[in-house]
Amino acid sequence: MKDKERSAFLVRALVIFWAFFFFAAMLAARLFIVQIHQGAGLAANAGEEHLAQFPLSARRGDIVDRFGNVFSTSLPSSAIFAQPAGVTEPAVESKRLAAILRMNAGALQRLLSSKTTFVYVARNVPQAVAARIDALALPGIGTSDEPMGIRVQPQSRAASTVVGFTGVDNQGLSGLEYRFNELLSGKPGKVIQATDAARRPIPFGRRTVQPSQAGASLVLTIDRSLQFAADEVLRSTVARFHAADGSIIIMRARTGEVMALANWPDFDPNRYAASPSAAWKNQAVTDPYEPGSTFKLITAAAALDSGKVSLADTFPARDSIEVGNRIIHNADDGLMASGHASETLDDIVTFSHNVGAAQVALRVGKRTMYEYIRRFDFDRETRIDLPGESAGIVGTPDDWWGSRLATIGFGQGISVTPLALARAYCSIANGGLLMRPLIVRYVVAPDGHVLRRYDPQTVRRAISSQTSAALLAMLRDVMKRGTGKGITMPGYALAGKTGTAQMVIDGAYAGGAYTASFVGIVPADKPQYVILVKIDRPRGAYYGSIVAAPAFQTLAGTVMWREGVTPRHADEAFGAPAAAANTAAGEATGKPRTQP
Amino acid sequence: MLERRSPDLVLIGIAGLLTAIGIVMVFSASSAVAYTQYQDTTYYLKRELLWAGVGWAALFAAVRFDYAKLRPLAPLMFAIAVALLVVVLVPHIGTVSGGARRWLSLRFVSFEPSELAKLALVLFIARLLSARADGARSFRSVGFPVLFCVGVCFVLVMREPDLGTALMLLLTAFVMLFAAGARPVHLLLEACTVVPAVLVFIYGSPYRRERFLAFLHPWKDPTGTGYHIIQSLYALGSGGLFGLGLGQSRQKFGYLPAQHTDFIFSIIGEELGFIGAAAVLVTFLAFTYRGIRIAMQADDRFGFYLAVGITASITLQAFINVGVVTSSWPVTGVPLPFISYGGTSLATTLFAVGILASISRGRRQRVAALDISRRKAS
Repeated sequence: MKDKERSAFLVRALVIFWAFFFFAAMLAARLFIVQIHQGAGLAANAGEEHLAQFPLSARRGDIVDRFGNVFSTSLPSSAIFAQPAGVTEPAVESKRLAAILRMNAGALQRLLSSKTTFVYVARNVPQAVAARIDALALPGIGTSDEPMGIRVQPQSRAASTVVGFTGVDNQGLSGLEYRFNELLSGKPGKVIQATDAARRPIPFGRRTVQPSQAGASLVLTIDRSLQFAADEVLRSTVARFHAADGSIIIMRARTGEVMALANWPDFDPNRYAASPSAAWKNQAVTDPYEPGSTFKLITAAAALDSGKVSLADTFPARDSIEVGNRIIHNADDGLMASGHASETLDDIVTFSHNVGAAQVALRVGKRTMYEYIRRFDFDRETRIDLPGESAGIVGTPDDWWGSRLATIGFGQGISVTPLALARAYCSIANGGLLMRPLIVRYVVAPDGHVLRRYDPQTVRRAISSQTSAALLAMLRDVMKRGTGKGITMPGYALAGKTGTAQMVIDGAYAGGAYTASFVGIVPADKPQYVILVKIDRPRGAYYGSIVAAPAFQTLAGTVMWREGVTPRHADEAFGAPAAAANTAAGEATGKPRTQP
Repeated sequence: MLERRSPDLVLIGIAGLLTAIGIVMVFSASSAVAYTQYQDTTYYLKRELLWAGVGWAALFAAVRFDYAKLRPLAPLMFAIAVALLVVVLVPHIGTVSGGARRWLSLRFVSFEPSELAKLALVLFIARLLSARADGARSFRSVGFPVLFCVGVCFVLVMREPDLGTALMLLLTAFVMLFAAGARPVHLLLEACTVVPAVLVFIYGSPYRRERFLAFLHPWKDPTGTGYHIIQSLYALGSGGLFGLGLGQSRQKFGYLPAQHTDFIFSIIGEELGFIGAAAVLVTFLAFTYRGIRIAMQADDRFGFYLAVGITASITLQAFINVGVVTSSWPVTGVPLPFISYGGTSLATTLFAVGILASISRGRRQRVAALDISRRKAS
C-alpha cells in the first residue's frame, strides 16, 4: 500500500470509530434514561405485573349438639400432585395410583406423561388416602395439605334437614350450614406472591401472607340421642302407615329450645345429590298445614283468656250446625255429642267436637279470635334461626267471611307451621309465655370463647297462667277420658291433643288425604316437654289418635328417660281408681309423691 | 525468515469476556423457561456451551489461517451463501419459526444461512473493494458491483423475511463503501434507493407497520404490538443502577419474550443494572476500537476492508440490538453478538473474530523489515 492510500484509510477508519463511539454514547444515555431516570416507575409497574393473589381457605367450623356430639365437621384433606419430569415409570405408577384413587389408569398415565412441571392428580381426598399414597413413595408423586378440608356429617341422616349441607366449595347451601355460613366459614386469607407469567410462584420478589381465620362452631339445642329417637319413631310411623311425609318436634317448654326436629323424607348430607331436592327442606319450619283439632286449644285459649267463655259455660251439644250456608259436622274420630243436652269447653276439647268449637269461636268473635292468633304469633315467623321459615296463613278478620271464623275454631281454614304450633303448646305448658324457639345455643370461636349465646327469649305473655293451667287440665282430660284415652305411660301424667285434618292440596280439600297429628306435653303434672307429631297421608288409618299418638307415647318415654324425670303417680299409672283423688291432692299441694 | 506477528491478544480477550458473559447470561435468562419447557434448567446452557466450543475452535483455526488466502475463496463462499439463502426459502427445506423461514435443519443441528451470508458478503465486498487502488471511487467498476451483491442478499433475506439481518447487511456494506472512499453523493444515492424500499416493505402490511412503529407509543397496545417493548423496559427499569443481582431477574419468568435471544440485553440490565449494561456496552466499544486498530495496521487493502467490515458488522449488530431493547428504534429482531443464545450466530461471530485476529498477525514477511515499514507508515 502506498503511504497516501494508507493515510486515507487511517482517516476513514478513525471517522468510523468515532461514529461508533458517538453511537455508543447515545445508547448509554438512552440506557441511563430508561434505567435510572424512569427506572423507579417502570420497576413499580413491573412489580404490579408480577404479583398475584392466592386465596388461603379457612377451616369451616363444626356443628355439634348440646353435648358436643358432632353433626358436621371439616376433616383435614390432601391434594395429590405429580411432577411428571420426576415420574420414572408412568405406566406402573398410574396403575398403582388408580387403584387407590379409583381413577382411570389410562387417563392418569397420560397425565403423568404430560409435558408440564406440575399437575394435580386429585384434590380434596381424605388424609388416610394421602397417607397410603405417601407410603408407596412413588417418584414424582407428592401430597400436600388442603386447608379447606372435607365437610363430613358423621350422623348421616340424623337432623339432616336442620343441619343442611355444603356445596363443592364448602359453602353452606341449606339448613344451618346456609343460615350461619358466614360465621362457619371464617375469613379466608391470602398470599400475595411474585409469580411467573403463568402465575406460578417464583423464588424472588414480594411474598406477603395474610393467614386465614378458622370459622366458628355452632352448639345446637338439639340432643343427638333424642334426635335419633325422633328420627327412628318418625321413620317407623311413616313406614307403618305408608305415609307420604311427616315431622316430629320435641321442645323444652320453658326455654323454647328445640331438642329434636325430625322430618321425613330426610337425606344423607354427605351425598345430598343422591336425594331429591324435596328431601332437603325442613318442612316443620317451611310448610304451613291445616292443624285441625290441635288448634281447638287456641280457640279455648282465646275463649278463656278473653273472659268471653268461662269453664262453667255450656254450649248446646249437637253433631251438626249450619254456619254461613255450610253444615259443620263433628268428625267421627271425636266422640259424638248427641245424647248430652249440653257440653262445656272442657268437653268440647276432650271429645274434640267441631260443632262445639265452632260455637265457641262464634261466641269469641272475629276480633278476639284474631287477637289471640296474633298473640301466639301465628301470623308471622317464629324467628327460629333456620332458613326458609314460613309464617302461618291466617288472613285477617276482614276476609273471614261465611263459615271461616267457625271453622278456624277447629283448625280449618287456617294454616300454621308445625314449629309455630309446638311453640304455642309450649306457652300452654310453661304458664303462658310465648318463647322464641331456639335451635342454636352458642356460637363458639375456634379458640373456645363464646362469640354469641342464645338465651331463652320471651316474646310476650300470650295468655295468663290461670288460662294456661285450665288449658293444661283440658289436655289432661283428653288423655284421661277423651280422644287420647288409650295413650298412657306408667308413672307419668300425660297431656295432649289429637288432630285429624283433611289436607289442602292446591287450594282445595283433597279427598282421602289427611294429616294425622298429636301434640302432647310431658310430664303433665310439672310440664316440661312438648312433643308434636304430624304424619301426612297415612294409609289404613288416619286418626291422630291412632297414627300419631303412639309415636308421642314412645317418644314421651324416651324423653323422660333421657332427661332423668323419674316416674311419679304410680297410682294413676297402675289405674287404681281410689288413687285419683290423691293424685289431684298431690298436685294441688305441688308436692311430688315419690314411689317407694 | 518469514514469520507472522503474534495475534491481537486484547481482541481475543475481549471476545473471550463477551463469550463468558454470554454463557452466564444465557444460563440465567433461559433457566426458568428451559425448566418449564424441558424440565431442565441447563437445556439452553448446554447447547450454548457446545456452540461456544465450536466457535472457539473456529476462531483459533482462523487465527492460524492466513487471511489473504480467503481472498481467492471469497467468490465461492459468496456463491455458496447465496445458494443457501435461496435453498432456505424453498418450502419443506427451510424451517419456519416465528412466522419466518430462516432455518436449515440438518440431522442434528439447524443453522441460519443469513448468519453465514453476513460473513460471506463482507469477504466478497472486501475482495471487490481491494481490487483497485482508488477503492470505491469508481461507481461503475466497484460501487455498482458491490451494491448489486448486497442487493441480491438483501432481497433474499427480506423474503424470509428477516428485516433486521437485511438491514445489517446494508449498513455493513455502507460502512465498507465509506471506508473505501466512496463519494458522498453515491452513498447518499444508495441511501435514497434503500430507504423507500424498506418503507414499502414495512407499510406493505398493517401488522408490520404496527409492530415497527410500536416503539413510539408502546402503551397504546400494551398486550399486543407494544408488549415486547414494555416488558423490555420493565426489565431494564427494574434493574436500576446496580441491578437485582445475577440470576434474580423476574422478567425472565415468561414475561419478556425472547429473553435469552434478542432481548438478553434487557435481562443483563435487570440483573446487573445500569452499571452492568453500560459495562457490556463499553466492552463492545473496546472491541470496536481493537477491530478498527487492526484495520489501521493491516498489511494490505484486503485486510483493511475485511477488518473494517467484520468490526462494523459485529458492532452495528450489537448497537442496533441495544437500541431495540431500550426502545430507541423499532424492533427489528437481531441477536446481540457473542451473548444472545444461538449457535450459528455465535460460531460465525467467533470465526469472524478469528479472521480479525489473523489480520492482526499480518502477512508472512520478514520480521525486521516489518517494523521499519510500519514506522514509516505511521
